[in-house]
Amino acid sequence: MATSPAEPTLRDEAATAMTRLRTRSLTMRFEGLVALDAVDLEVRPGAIHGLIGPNGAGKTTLFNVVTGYHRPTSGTIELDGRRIDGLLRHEIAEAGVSRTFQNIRLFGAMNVIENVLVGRHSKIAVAGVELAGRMRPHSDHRALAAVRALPSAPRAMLHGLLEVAGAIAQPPRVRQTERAAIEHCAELLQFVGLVGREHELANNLSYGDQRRLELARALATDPALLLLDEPTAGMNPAESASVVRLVRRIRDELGVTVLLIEHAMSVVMGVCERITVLDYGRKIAEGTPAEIQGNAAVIEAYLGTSAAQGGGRAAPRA
Amino acid sequence: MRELQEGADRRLRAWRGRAAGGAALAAQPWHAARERLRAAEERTRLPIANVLVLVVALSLPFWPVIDSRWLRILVLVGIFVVLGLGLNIVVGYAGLLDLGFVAFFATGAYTYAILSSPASPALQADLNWWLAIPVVLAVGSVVGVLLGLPVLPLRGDYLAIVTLGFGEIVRILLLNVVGLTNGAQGLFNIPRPEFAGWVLEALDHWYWVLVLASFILAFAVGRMRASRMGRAWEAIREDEDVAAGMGVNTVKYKLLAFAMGAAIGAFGGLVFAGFFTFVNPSSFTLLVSINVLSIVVIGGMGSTPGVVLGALILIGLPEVLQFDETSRLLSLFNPIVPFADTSLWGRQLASARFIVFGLMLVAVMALRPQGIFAAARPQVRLPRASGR
Ligand SMILES: Nc1ncnc2c1ncn2[C@@H]1O[C@H](COP(=O)(O)OP(=O)(O)O)[C@@H](O)[C@H]1O
Ligand SMILES: [Mg+2]
Repeated sequence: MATSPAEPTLRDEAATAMTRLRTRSLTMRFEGLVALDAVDLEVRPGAIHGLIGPNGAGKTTLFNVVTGYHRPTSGTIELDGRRIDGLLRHEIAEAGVSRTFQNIRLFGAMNVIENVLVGRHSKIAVAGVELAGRMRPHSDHRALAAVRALPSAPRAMLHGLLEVAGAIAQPPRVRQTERAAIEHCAELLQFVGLVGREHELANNLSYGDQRRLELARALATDPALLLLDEPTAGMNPAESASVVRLVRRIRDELGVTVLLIEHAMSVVMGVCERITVLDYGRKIAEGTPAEIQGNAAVIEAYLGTSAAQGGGRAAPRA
Repeated sequence: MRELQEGADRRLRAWRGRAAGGAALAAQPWHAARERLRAAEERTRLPIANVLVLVVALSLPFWPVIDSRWLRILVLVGIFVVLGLGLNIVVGYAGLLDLGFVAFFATGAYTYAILSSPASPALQADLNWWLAIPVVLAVGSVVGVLLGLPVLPLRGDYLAIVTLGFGEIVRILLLNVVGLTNGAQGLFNIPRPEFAGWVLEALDHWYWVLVLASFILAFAVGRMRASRMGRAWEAIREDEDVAAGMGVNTVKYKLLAFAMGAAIGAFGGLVFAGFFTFVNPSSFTLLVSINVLSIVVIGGMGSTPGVVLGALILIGLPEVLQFDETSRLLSLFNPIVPFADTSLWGRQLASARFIVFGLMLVAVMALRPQGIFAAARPQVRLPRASGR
């Protein structure tokens, strides 16, 4: 990155204060099927923002596009005013977007703590970080400039070598950041309520605990924006309530902005300050829970004409 | 099509999960002993098990039963241990099914042979074996990256088939780029390792060098696995897409897995060339890839002791079965076994080894998919405050 440190201006900061996530006419087509149709979405910093809609409305697709799993057909995505569409998935994660999955996707054969540590990946140093210019991007050291000037292939090789050297030799900086990462992850596990389970395999956890672990892993990347895809799906009311409490604490105590896909209306209406409704890939409504509850288009999307249009809407689509 | 692929991936993941997971711990007969040992190591802060194994391994040449036949076999086993440690990174950690591992073995052997053999038609440079180590590691990892690049988007079966092709391509290149490799005749009179007048020639010396090399490699590989790089590899194996979503540059780490595996495989080739002082393309067939993969799978994917055990069983045992002592021992069964000469059993079993290996693979897959030595998780030491 060649940005100079003097760049951020007041205007940028004002924009940052306004929106955490902004999509502009975001469109995603899959061979003929329009999963997202010119969606404009705005999520304010510090919000718990709900994303609802019937099955197949495109909610998960929106998450997939924002996190770089699909490249949008057209439209833009901004995080805190910075374009993130077109970035690679790990770059989007490093930019500050993290997520959980509708169908839990953990690293099943790894320990609980290791799952969280993978989320902490980019916070752990490699050997010669100063040389590689990862941790001090603004240093004007000569060696650093020389490394930056290298063509990309040898530079990538150098990075690889430093990675290996760091792993084998474990210089103090690597050790120290690794230890800090472990401490941080242990705290996150405490936060989500998985203390004492650190060395169990993720696969051996109960369903509810797996959801919690996914939350801890997602939080480990230090996200500015957390995308939660139906975090209470398949839970009984008690479990569900405790996850909702957790989501609130994620926002209140960690200051993470949350965009939440959720089917249970009681949950959405109770926890979200603003709600966006998708139907057939299109945004059909946006507003406070009260506004959404009274919105005719929303009621129609959920209850109305779908049966007349050929049915099948209510059935979950794989 | 996509859904089919995803379904298959999911099933594979579930299977791997089971393989590495619950069944492993519960059914592991030595699990309790291993835990006790680990506790003792924790207390004394000494790698007791490793030191014991190292001492026993180094002392082997002094045992009365160990003669030159044994040492020759142990050296061969050692070469395959090195290869297994390399492939283990690619297949066991990163979950990239590579059926062309022989390519890197050949790369290492030929790099040294071309740079040192007097028969080398080009680039002959009298390169000292010891100095060739960094050269071979570097060349190996570069070749690993080059072969890794085109297979980056491939998964599972597709990856296996393409890498299988790479293995064959390298062998065919060795046969046909005569100006560099001397073709089918191969390269001979490759100098033995020499350092300040000491020539590495005696079998026991070779054996010691291989034991030490294996330990150093195992240590390095263990460190890699316990680092963020190792976790990135395993995360890629478990779910590549999610790993990327958590900030792991999957391209970088897949290439690093190929590079590390290839570098170690190439080192195995360097040992091979220095030990046999002769290389030709017929030593670098698909069979080598299959042998190494079987070692990793039977021993236990991702498990270092598993690699050693796998190499002993697959490479060492068939040789030992052909010893005269084995025949004599087996002939003791003659009185109780009618209609058969039991003294021949060892040789018969050895000549049917590939059938036996095949059956072993099937048995391991069906009964104990985590392998004989299930890989132990690296220990993440928790901070005191939240401690156990
Ligand atoms: N990778 C894909 N390829 C083709 N179609 C897809 C893909 N992902 C989602 N879809 C389709 O896009 C539509 C929206 O799906 P999704 O976003 O999962 O809905 P939901 O709102 O229930 O999360 C569905 O019709 C689904 O079949
Ligand atoms: Mg969905």
